[in-house]
Amino acid sequence: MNPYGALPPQNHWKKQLDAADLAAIDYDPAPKWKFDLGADRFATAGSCFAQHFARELRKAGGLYVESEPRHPLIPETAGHGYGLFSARYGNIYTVRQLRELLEQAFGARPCVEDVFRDKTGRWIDLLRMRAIPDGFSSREECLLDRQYHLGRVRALFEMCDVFVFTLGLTECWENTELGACYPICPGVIDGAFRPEAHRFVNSGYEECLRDMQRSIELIRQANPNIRILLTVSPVMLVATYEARGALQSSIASKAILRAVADRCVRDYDCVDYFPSYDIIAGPQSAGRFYQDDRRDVTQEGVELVMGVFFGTRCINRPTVFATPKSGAEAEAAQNRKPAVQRAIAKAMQVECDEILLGHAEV
Amino acid sequence: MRIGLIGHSHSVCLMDALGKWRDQLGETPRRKRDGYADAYGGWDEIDTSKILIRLPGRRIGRFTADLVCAVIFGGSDDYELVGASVGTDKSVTIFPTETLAKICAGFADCDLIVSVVFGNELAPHIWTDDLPAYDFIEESLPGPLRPGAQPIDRRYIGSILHEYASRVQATCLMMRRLCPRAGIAHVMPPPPLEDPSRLKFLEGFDDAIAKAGLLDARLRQRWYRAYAAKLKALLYQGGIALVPPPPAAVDGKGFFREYLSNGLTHGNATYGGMVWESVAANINVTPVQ
Repeated sequence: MNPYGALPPQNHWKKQLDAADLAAIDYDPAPKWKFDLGADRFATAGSCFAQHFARELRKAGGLYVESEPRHPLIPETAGHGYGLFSARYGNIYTVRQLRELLEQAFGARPCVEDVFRDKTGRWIDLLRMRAIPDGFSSREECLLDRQYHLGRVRALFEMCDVFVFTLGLTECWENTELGACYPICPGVIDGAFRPEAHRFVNSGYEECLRDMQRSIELIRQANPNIRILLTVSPVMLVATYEARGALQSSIASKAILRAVADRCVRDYDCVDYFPSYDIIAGPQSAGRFYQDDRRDVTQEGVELVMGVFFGTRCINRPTVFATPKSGAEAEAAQNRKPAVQRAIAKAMQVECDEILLGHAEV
Repeated sequence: MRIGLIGHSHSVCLMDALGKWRDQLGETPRRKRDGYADAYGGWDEIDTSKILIRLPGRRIGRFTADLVCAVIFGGSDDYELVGASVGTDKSVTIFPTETLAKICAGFADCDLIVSVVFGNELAPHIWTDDLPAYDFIEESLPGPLRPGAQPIDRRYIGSILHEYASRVQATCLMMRRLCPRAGIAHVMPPPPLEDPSRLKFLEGFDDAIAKAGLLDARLRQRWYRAYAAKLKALLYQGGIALVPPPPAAVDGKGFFREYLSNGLTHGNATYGGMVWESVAANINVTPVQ
């Protein structure tokens, strides 16, 4: 007789993972709450993995909130960042970025005005440089749009019941003059890198936790009934600025973010964690859900994650959702990889600023 | 002096300012067109683009001129006056329609061609408030944007306006090619009214306005001014003058004076006379007596 004997099977590694195939594993045995796909309104933000979540949720008929949809006067083909997330903030990789966005949106700090005129004469909001690649005709329009955007972020939290946030990175670059961090280092896509103003920051556990706590408080002030679902992106870093390998930085960063999520789940009734990172990156999958670059997640992995989400978290869930292939099917798929991979990679294209670091001189 | 006048519905007020002309259409349709002033009776019954109307010895400001006029009514089967074809090398060729070629043949000995072609392309944008709240910057009309409205970058407003303005530009350039000895002046349509609530003729916009409401008056102004600026720039490149609305026809805020209107978007004969005065004042030639 010992205290573990009375615990449910999923508390034991061997029992939880003892399944015929990966889809049969009970990955998410103790959710705090379930969602009503027919009634709960979802908003998403975070790193590029959050885009998958948004897309699959929409496909499944979930009520996906967009507080900043494309205006009919703006052509569908315009590079103006509509439809990727619930508002036009682009990828929010770090918790600090989220905290700063929310502080601006809710008036806890002034709007950060950091704009840059690119070589074509267009004005770029450096806090959303990849979100709005088309830029703006003037500095004034760029700043007006930012003000409007912050208003729509504010509105978003009044419109949604569930906020899904994917924690992505701990590393970022900040502007020491403005006290604001960027989604991507200035100079990689747009803007000019200025060593006197731009500083590398790698937030540790305490900083990330403080940023997350502050973000949760701001969100709850705006919407006391909101539920916040945290996930950690399983996508690894393209590059690290630390004096160590990208692998070490990736693992360290994911460990910190996973720990922050864990702590918030313990501290807040309104916060829960969904194990997309655990499903993809856990040893049970043996790297099967990573693409050839061992960094990005395959469509099969995304489908498994969303299948688990719909299966364990949702009532009124869609009747059909993808399940991962059996072992034989997966092997056959591996053999077809060169052609299939390309097609999948194309289908999987997501706006991921970080990938640009791979092409930049850093 | 010989003047050619070509235009769609906005040329009617210029024609009416010159005196009787409808009898030259042969049959004179007078069927009332719902929502439009009497000036547009029979609007869609006759293909007027096939008929050149001659008005000799008319007074145009300080000039006496012989006019050859082509009024392209809504019923015309040749409403567009130029066409375009795209070659295998993706080069675009603009060509005149048969109607425009015939009209320009009639303008062969004209000293001046006054164009009032198109002119209502902005109307769907500027009258009904049927889109999510938006606004945009127009430098000639500074001031805050509407609270809560989405600011639309000028690139996108500009591309909409470019599409409309380039249709006018292409038509005017084609006329210049076909009538090389004539100067060409294009007349802007009247600016929007500030408050059309007292108007009798809403020219087909009744239902849309009742359903969606009127667009903010200042935004209507912004659209109009942005379009005028775009059109002026495009026409200037081709050496074509843009004739703005006469200053006396516009109030202190830039809106069209209601007593000069003949429906939601059009001017009346008095306004047409003012436009002729404006055209004449800008003719840079010695009057031929």
